[in-house]
Amino acid sequence: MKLTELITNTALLGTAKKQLDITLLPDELRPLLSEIAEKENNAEAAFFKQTAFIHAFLQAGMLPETRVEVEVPEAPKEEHSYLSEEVTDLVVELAENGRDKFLMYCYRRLANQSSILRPYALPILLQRAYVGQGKGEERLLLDIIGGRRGRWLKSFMQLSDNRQDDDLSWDTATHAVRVAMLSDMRRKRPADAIALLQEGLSAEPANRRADFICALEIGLTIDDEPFLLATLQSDKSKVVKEHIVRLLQRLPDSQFVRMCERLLAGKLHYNRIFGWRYDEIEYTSELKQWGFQQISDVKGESDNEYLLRQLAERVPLRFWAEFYGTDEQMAACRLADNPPFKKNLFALSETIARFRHADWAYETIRTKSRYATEELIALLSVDQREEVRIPDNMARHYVPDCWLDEQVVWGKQFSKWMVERSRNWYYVSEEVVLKLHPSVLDLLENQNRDDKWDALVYLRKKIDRTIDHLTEQ
Amino acid sequence: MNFHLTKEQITQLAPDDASVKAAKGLTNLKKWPLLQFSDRAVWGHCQGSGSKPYQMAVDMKDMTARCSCPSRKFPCKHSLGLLFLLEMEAQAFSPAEEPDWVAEWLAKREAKAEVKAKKAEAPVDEAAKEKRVEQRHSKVLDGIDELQTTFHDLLRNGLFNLPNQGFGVFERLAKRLVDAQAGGLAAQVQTLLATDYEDDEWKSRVMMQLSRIYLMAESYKHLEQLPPEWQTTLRTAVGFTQAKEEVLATEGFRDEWWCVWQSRSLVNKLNMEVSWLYGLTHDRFATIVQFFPHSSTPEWTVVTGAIYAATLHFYPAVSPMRAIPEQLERVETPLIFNAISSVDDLLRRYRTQMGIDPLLDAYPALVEQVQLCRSGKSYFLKDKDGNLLKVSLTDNVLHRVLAVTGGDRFTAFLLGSPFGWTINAFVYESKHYIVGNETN
Repeated sequence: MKLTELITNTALLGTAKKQLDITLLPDELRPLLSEIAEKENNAEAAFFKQTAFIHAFLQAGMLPETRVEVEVPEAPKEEHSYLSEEVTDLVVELAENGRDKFLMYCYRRLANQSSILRPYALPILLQRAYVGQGKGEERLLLDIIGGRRGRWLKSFMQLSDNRQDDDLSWDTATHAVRVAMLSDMRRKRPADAIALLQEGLSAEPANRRADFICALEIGLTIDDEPFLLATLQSDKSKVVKEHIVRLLQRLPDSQFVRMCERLLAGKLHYNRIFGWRYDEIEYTSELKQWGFQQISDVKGESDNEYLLRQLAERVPLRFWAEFYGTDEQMAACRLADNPPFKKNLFALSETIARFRHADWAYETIRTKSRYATEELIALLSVDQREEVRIPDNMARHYVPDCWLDEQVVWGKQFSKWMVERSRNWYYVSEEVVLKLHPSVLDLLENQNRDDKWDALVYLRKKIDRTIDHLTEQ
Repeated sequence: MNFHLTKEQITQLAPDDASVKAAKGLTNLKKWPLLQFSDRAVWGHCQGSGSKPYQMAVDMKDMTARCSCPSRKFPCKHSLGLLFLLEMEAQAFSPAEEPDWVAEWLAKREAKAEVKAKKAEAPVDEAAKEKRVEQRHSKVLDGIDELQTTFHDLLRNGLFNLPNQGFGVFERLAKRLVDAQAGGLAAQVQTLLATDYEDDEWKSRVMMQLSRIYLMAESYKHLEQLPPEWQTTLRTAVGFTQAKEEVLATEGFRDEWWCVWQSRSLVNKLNMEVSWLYGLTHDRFATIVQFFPHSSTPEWTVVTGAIYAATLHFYPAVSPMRAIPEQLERVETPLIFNAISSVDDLLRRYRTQMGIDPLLDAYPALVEQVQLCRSGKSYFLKDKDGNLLKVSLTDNVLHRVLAVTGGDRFTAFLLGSPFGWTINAFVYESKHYIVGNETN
């Protein structure tokens, strides 16, 4: 038995119940400890003195361990050179200060070149990347720029990518987590998401079925139509059906949209002199089944026009190109210039947004800027946004979330426009500063903004300067 | 300009992380309409939201800063920002004659230092002093009586009740010892408050600490019978302080001292900073222990990784370690040091020292050419002969060492005690890394 165990066993039970058995101690200690026991009247005092001597004895006899089997962990050799300390320190600074967006921006840029981060930064960056959900991209990029040392270190830090775990835990996850898992699956393996729902959707309550159907909006393609149609037939929930119809309306080649085109064809007529003219259309059970309304509640609009309007708001640009007998670009301009139906009734912006047709949005806004909505602006490419005139009532107090979705830097003109509007914004964020064209950063710096703006602009410039310098070498 | 602080060293001067973040946000030259330096100081103007910029200056002798902003933090974000800027953009600073507000501040500091020195030389009422010492000694003995009674009760009833009762018992005892002016013993008892009763090792650790404290207390009761160096050591352990002047009057020890590691903790609402120094020529360790209020800086600015030419005066003790510097001058000496080359040699030295001083709290050592290795959940340092030394590692320390060394050999700065060995800093490929920084 070890000496320390002798002491602790006695101490745990208490000297009232147990005494230290000196006979179990090494020969060198026994005379001294016996003497203490004899001279000391108080049993506890004697015990403390004895243990103090035993501990001193042990410390004065400490030897190296030799009989332990050990393994020496060794990291694999790196195949890439290291980035400078300046770049690595910058990344650590962003991570330590919680600059999430700036950090991801840095990671993306660094992943495009061949050097890797210096190893001293790895523990903090790995710890950050593997805490919390939704860090798939961060982990992936860190795997690249952390080099072999980073991947090796992960095993010691007991960090793992939970992608496989997510698949396995569908059955036990909460509804909110399952929706997130389904959304993630739609981004990476859209067909698998459909397969998953085909198996188990009908067993879910209506509100959950509706949430799962909404998740299919991510990566929606015509390949999803068979499942959506089948569910539309079989599902009893009105809400679920509405969501399905809403999704089918987004697909230009879906049966639904083709039906709208077929029914609308030949019912609208336009003449430069007489304007728009509408033929009669019957409100059929087919239309009712698809959710079309029969009666208009707008004063001055007939039920017939209302029905035609609903159909017109569900046909893609190719219909109008055929209607006008011209190409899609010209058709978009003509439609924006002189749309059918009563003034302001025809929801052209919503129609374009539904089909997510960027060029249609561009031509429409160029023709008439009043059609510009936050959603349509978000559809435009960087170059398209440079050319349109955006109404002054937009982005007055905040940046719409849909303008921050893609990982692109805005063009020069659009960035300048945003900077002008930013004076009244409620808040400024890293995402916005990252989207600004580099040429406007100096403009911002020279304005008398608050510390938060200054700090963000300064950081953005520092990151660009540091990484651009790297690229130049 | 003689300025060589690194970013990490400047960060260490900051009172908290928020100050560091705010300071870094100020490192934009456009905010600084004025940046100048002299032989003694560096100063600048920083434009805030008001019409007048803030004025701040740093005394290069000891990195003490002053600023006209209303912040109660010390040093404030502006002063830290000035230092960060100096580190990053030194060329933006121009040499200049000290403006009045800088010169006056520096003059005041010098005058204060002179007054302090004169005060130390003032004659002391010896009789009153002796009476105070006797009174305190009597109070301490009362405190020790209570300590021993408490310990006896604990032991008689058995320690298995400690997980439920221990915190309350030790907290009350520590307070009582503070009242008895035995602050050193109180601090030792307070370490028991942090016992992790979930860890199986708690029984042996607690018992070891109880017996050490008991030994200290019991030895103090027989102070007069002990040799002078033991009397000094025990008085210090119990909580008596030695007058700085007396320590400074002892023989000084000159060397170039490398600050290997530094710890900061909060003790009775004061910051306690312990800087571990290693003499590069004489291979000797020393500690500079400083206490200062939360929002101020210590008397000596000691930065980890820096090397100082200094004469140190050691507090008399059985194992002299704590020292007071006569002066501290930062020097740019290449880091070349001798380290212990084997675990065997390390433990031989440790055994010798523990035999001399069984109350030693921490034994410092630099050991070279060691590798980190593991057996199950335990970690060891393995030297080139294959001898092993078990080390206690937190996950943070383990990951940092492995990240940097990749399993390769390195030089470790260790602190050993009856409770085990810890790695607090290491050197790898000539770079010095801090891992065991404890800010409590």
